[in-house]
Amino acid sequence: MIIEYQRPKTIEEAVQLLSRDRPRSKPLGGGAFLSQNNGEEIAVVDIQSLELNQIAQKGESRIIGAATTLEDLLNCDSICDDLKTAIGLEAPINTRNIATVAGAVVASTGNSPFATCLLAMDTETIWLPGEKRVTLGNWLPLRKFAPGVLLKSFNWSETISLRYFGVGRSPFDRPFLCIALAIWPSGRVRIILGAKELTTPALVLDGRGHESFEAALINACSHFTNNQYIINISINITKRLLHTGAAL
Amino acid sequence: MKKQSLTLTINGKSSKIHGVTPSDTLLEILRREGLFGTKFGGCRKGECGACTVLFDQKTVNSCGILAFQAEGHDIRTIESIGENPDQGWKHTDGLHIIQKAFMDSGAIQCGYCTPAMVLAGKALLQKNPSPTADEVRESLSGILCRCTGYLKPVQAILRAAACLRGEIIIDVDTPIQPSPISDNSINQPSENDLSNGITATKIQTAPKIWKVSKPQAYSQVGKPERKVDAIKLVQGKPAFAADIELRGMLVAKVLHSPIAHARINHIDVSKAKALPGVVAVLTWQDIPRVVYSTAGQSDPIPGPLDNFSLDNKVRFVGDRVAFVAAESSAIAEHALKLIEVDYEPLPIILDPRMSMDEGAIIIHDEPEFVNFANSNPKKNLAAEIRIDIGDVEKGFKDADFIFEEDYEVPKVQQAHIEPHVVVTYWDENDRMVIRTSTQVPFHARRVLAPVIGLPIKRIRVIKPRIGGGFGGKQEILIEDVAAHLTIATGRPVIYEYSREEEFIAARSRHPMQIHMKTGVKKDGTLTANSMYVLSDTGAYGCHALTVTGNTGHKSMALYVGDNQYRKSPNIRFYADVVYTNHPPAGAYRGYGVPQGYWAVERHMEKISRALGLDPIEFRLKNSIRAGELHPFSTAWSEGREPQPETIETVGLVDCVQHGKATIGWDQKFGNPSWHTIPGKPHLRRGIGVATVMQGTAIPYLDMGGASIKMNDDGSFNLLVGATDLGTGSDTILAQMAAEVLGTTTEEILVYSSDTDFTPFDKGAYASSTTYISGSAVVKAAEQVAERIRLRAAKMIKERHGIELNSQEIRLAGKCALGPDGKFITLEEIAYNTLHHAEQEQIMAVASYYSPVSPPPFAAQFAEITMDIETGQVVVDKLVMAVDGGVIVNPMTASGQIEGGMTQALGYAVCEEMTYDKNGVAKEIDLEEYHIFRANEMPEMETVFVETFEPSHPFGAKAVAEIPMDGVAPAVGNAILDACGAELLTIPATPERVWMAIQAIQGKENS
Repeated sequence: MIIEYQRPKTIEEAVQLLSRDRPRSKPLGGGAFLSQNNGEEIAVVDIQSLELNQIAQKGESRIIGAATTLEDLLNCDSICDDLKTAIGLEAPINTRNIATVAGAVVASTGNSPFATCLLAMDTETIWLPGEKRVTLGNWLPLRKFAPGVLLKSFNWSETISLRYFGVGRSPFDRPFLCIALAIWPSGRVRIILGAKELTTPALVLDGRGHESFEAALINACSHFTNNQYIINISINITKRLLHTGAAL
Repeated sequence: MKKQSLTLTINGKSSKIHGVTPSDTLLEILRREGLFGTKFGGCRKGECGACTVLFDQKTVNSCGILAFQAEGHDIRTIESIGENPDQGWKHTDGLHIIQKAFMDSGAIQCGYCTPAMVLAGKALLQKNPSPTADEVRESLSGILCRCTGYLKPVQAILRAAACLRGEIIIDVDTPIQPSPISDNSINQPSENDLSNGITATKIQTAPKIWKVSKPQAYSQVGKPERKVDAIKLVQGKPAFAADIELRGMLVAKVLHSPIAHARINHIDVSKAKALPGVVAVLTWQDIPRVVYSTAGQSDPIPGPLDNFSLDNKVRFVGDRVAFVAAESSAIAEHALKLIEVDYEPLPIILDPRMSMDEGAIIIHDEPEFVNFANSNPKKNLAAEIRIDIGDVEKGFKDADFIFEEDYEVPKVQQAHIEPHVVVTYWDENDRMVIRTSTQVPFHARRVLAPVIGLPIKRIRVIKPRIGGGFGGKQEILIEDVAAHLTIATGRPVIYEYSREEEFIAARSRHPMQIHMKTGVKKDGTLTANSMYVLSDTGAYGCHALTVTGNTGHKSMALYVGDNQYRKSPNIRFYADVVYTNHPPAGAYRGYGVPQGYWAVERHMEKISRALGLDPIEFRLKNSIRAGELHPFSTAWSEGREPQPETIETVGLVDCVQHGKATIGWDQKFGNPSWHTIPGKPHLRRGIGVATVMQGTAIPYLDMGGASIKMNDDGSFNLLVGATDLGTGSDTILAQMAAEVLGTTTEEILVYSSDTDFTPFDKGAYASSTTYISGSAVVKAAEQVAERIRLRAAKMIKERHGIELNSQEIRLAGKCALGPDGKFITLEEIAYNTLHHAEQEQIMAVASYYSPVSPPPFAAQFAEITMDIETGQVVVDKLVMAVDGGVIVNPMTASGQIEGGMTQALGYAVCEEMTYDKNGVAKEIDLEEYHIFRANEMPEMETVFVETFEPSHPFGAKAVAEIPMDGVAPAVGNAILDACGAELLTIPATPERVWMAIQAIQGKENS
């Protein structure tokens, strides 16, 4: 239950509020996590006035402010089509209009198309205070919020080629299985598997070349299922993404 | 918790709002402030979008944000958009153009999501005045609609956009006649299809109508009239059960069982009662133990009585344990957590095949259990059906081939967007008033009376607008909870289901396992057809017998065989309806028939292909024809004495021809090049068909009443007990009354329904309102018309000196007309009767029940694209050509078809309620349980094939349920057509389809 609402005007104020342990304070973006509140008495620190909603480019890096809404990101011209597809599947428009990128990631499930794509791009998270950098791949499985820290932005490389494909029961159903695959100019390939049975999308492969992807997928699937269908279509989808990117 | 004040800018006005807690959502505050146009859909993640508001001109779910988050932002609700243009002397700007377009386009059914859709349309057109249909669909994709199938709302927004751009807009009542059928050509848009040339986007909303019978000259019947309740719904007026404020109203919550089967040894409610703000906590020890059925059906309930308001035993996860009434929702929820229950777990049965096993735990061991027909609680048997027509065994012996197969259909949810909701209070006469979202107000009153210990006369049930029901509200599901708490506290109580409660504690479609065995000659003549059904009624037997009876009664009646078998068909239908520890099943649109058609139509496809016969010709060869007896009418009638019924009208051949032409069957079926997509070897196309029949009302049983009263200005009050649950039945009843009374629909003021004021009606189910209630309306209108004609004859004589017999006078154009053109207006007649001479109130009451249930028929087609590597199926197009008799209102009727097809599409490909090994529901929200959104819908087209049903005054049959029947088998048959995979179980999830593909590949390899 939310027992206190705060809307700080400065980062410093927000950090100070988030440092409290009584009441335990959590950052509030669009409200994606409200549905996940288990009844614990908390204070919320609304970050809407902190101007953390910029989308920028710095060198080869794309920087997305934590409070950027999913819809603003979706409408950003420089975002690749497959990431747009994933954002479109992440939530319907009413939710995208208010949900922040940070909120969507924090509240993401194992079959989140958006989180699967961000993980494939080896996205970096930047935290305040101190601009501490942590890869999303390291942070997301634990989702640990230290007191007094605030997620500022997400960074990824603009040079990456991202491909995404998911399988659901209908065209805009949240996929029960999805694969995101990122290819760097250097030849680095990173494959992430999203699945309903997972709590966080799983890393399948990260390295130069992808010859071993089938074995890697079988291994990744083995941690949550022995369903031949899941294993088989994971392989087929990945093959398709590697070779053509063709979707239904 | 500390309450605070905040300032919100709502609809352009800044106001300080007091008493807000940090956890209050914007939705809660808006509704508390009386802005009832923002609706509650019961969800926690904003899945349904009924609570949409504009937040700085963008659509957001007000249930998903805190009220404090909204401070400093511009909040707009539906109340800011437009208003009724007619407010007496006060000038208003009237409705917004989008609101008008929604009304004109038939985009409003139950109206619960309409305010949200109007707001979404407004937000879109503000930033994009010329949207494409896809862009409109995307803008609506955050709002779930279970009624319309989204087609008409999309067209409404496109229509509004065209209007705002200053384009010429065609009238919605421009009729469209399908082109004459040519078997070799796709049905091209006719000259009357005005969607081309006038605007770049399709705004034509009227369906195509093919008149088989000679068209009758009606002035009101057959017109696409605006819904009579559209203006209030499009403005978001407080029309629904929860849209009410009562002083001191308490909030009810129910503690649901976390265990699938257990005895309750002890309940300790002391901590809950001690919580400040809790006013009452009730357990089974506090209220009378009255056995009843929650099924909303006529007396006697055709099923076992096996339910108690509260019991000392729970039989499914979600069963009731205790009721709480508190000052707020949060307090009531907190109190639930403080109730301590000592459960003694019992063995559970989740597989219906185990229910009747020797030694299986008995789910209903209570001594109060009341059997109906062949129910047997000792065998966990809620109902048993054994129907043999003709000589089935001889039919099998006559056959050249026998085909057998097993099919399975899932448990699915009605998912009406307005949850179950009820408000109860004592009125000034100490009568219990029950304001409830129900399809069956009169059954509710009768069933509740003994349960709450009041005589029927001391209960008044008011049915306001219903935000969708689809059978889910043909149940006395929650009214008793609020009534018990009002009795306990003396205060008004509101009880509103959450979406999770809808999934764990409401009713659903019966899941069934179906075995088909069919005998057939080499030439395709069916010699015998047999179906056995094992139906899972869950923990209670509401609708157990009648739903499953309907499965055979409708789906097994369509194919009677040909030649000698047509004269004497051999049909067997056996069913066992068993108890399990799943949540109870119940009524859901189609009422057992979609289950049957999945099996029958997949089976017919299998047989026709195995014999190398054209699947459509094979079906038509064996299907029932006009003038033949309904085969089941001689054998079964829901536990009553059967009475033979001849089917007078069968438009199935025309339906098939028009459906084929519309979908382009001849160009696609059997055409290898159409089935593949160049450059995409993993994709295949397929096309499938199903032919179906339903029923129209329950013969010799269900009755509807109507009363009509003439007012001073020549308008009429039409009071009906019928319950418009969004179907538009109030409108078509008004049209029928207006037709008889020679006036316009807008002169008929419809009120439905209130057990104190409106005549009895069985309620909205069994596709009966147009037919049964409509016939009652026509009878009452004819009596009123005769009184008007008699008075007119007198007045014409006085005024013109002409002596006329009343039968020489006809009513038209709001006048009573003599043969020579002399006329008196209805208003003059009303004044004369009420004020001037031989004063009398012209009014009449009539009722109707039917000796027959004329079936509607349909041909349903599906076109799909599928990925053979993943099993994913995308339905590209659905076509339904339907013989529903004369269509009273093409706009509302086509809305029924489109909405029904959309629900059926979910049944076909994605909807399914599943449980873990402990009987805990896996799907508890509208994200996990996916229903189609606006941006993922296939193209849909409706063609009406109008026959004239002689047993109805205007020739009407039903259309509301039949769209549910054929989509799933048409999709299943399309999958077979695409890749050869035989899908036996729905929904056609990618995994099931993939497995079916693997099965054929395995067969080929072996």
